[in-house]
Amino acid sequence: MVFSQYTNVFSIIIYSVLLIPGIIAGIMGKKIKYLGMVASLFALYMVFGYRSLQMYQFLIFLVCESLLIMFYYFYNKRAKSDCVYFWVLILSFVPIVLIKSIIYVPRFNFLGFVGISYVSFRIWQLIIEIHDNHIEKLPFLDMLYFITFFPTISSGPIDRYQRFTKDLDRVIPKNEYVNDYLLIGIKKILLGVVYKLGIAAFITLYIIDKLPREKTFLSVVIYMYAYTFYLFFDFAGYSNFAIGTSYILGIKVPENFNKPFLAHNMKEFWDRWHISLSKWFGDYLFSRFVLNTLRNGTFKSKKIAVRCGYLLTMAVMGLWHGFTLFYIAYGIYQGIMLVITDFYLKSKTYRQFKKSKYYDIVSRVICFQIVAIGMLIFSGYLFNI
Amino acid sequence: MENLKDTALDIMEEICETDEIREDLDLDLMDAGLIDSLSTINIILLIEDKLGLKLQPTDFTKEDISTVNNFISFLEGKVK
Repeated sequence: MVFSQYTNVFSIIIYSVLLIPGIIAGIMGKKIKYLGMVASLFALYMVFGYRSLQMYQFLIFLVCESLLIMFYYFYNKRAKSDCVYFWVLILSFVPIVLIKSIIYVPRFNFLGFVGISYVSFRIWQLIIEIHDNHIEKLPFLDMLYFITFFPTISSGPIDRYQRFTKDLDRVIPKNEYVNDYLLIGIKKILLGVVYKLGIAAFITLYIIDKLPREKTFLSVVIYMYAYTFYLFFDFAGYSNFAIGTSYILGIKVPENFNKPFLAHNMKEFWDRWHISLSKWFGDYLFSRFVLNTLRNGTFKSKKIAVRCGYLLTMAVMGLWHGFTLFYIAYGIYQGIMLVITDFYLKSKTYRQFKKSKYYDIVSRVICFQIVAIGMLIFSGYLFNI
Repeated sequence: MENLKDTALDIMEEICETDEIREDLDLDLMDAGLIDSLSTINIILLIEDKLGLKLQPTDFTKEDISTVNNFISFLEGKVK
């Protein structure tokens, strides 16, 4: 039997039971690391199912990717080669590209497993950081635990290896554990219950499901706003479960949301929405693209490099969600909006408007409309006939 | 190390486009609106140019460039 994570009260209780040994260790001021690893094993059995097809795919994926990472780690200690780096990265992309392409080959649609998109980010981060010589030690168990850390396996937040292992090896004093980890963790889990199982479920049941089958202009508008709020409460709720559970295991996973609908412009929005994802893309794709194209002279001006960087990063982000038309459209839309925002933020109009007393309210309202249109594209609602 | 301090100040002056940064080395540059998330890229290019040191965006934390003093100690750590 498979228990999807955090989708109902029962599964939350089952997953919480796994935390008990860790909680006892934490309250006694002992190291939680190994108890967390044991809990992770049980949790992964529950996520994928014992001897299920998903489990086999996950295990094969894990073995291949860990071998690749370990190979590259030891290789990079002896010799530096950009060619090897390139091929290691390409090989690490193979599983996710294959699985995301499956939608076009219905015969193989049984392939794929929960969390591959998110687990892949952790693998790529390791490979890139090994290349940059940022990883001094890579103990095998720590690496496995990082890649498969169960509270965040299905949809993030996306943690970083160096930050993760720093928390992992720390022995937390009793009082600090209770106040800053256990209680905050429980609070976050409860907030997750309210967001996801309360508000998001309410919006689905009483607004989205009540809409007529025939699309009219009005029904699309209602759907757009309802879905935007639904997605926030559903995903922020899930993130709170994931972060809360991680805290209880002594890992302060980064936050994913910071009042996104209060953003004044789309650039600020991406600092507030799905933060761990946008930071990841910012660090490992966007800024590296801008730097490299400026270094090798592809672009003379930084402005152009930055704008092309936005378009590229957001298109890749769309593709990462899935190889379907509406995700790609969503990525392109977000890229164009960021370019427009960049023009706007550098304009005289913006500098003058910023001094106006209506600045806060007007820019927030406009920004929210841009966000909502994006979410409408993302939902695929317009694309199903 | 005096030289490195000068280089750090030059870089920050160029990034922030004001010499006021020399007056208070503990001023929070992010709060003052003098740097933003894109400044890292310019800083990396300037460090490469002036010190021949090739860095990556992930070499920095937010704190490393939040004040001029932090930036000086960051550079000292990297050059060592």
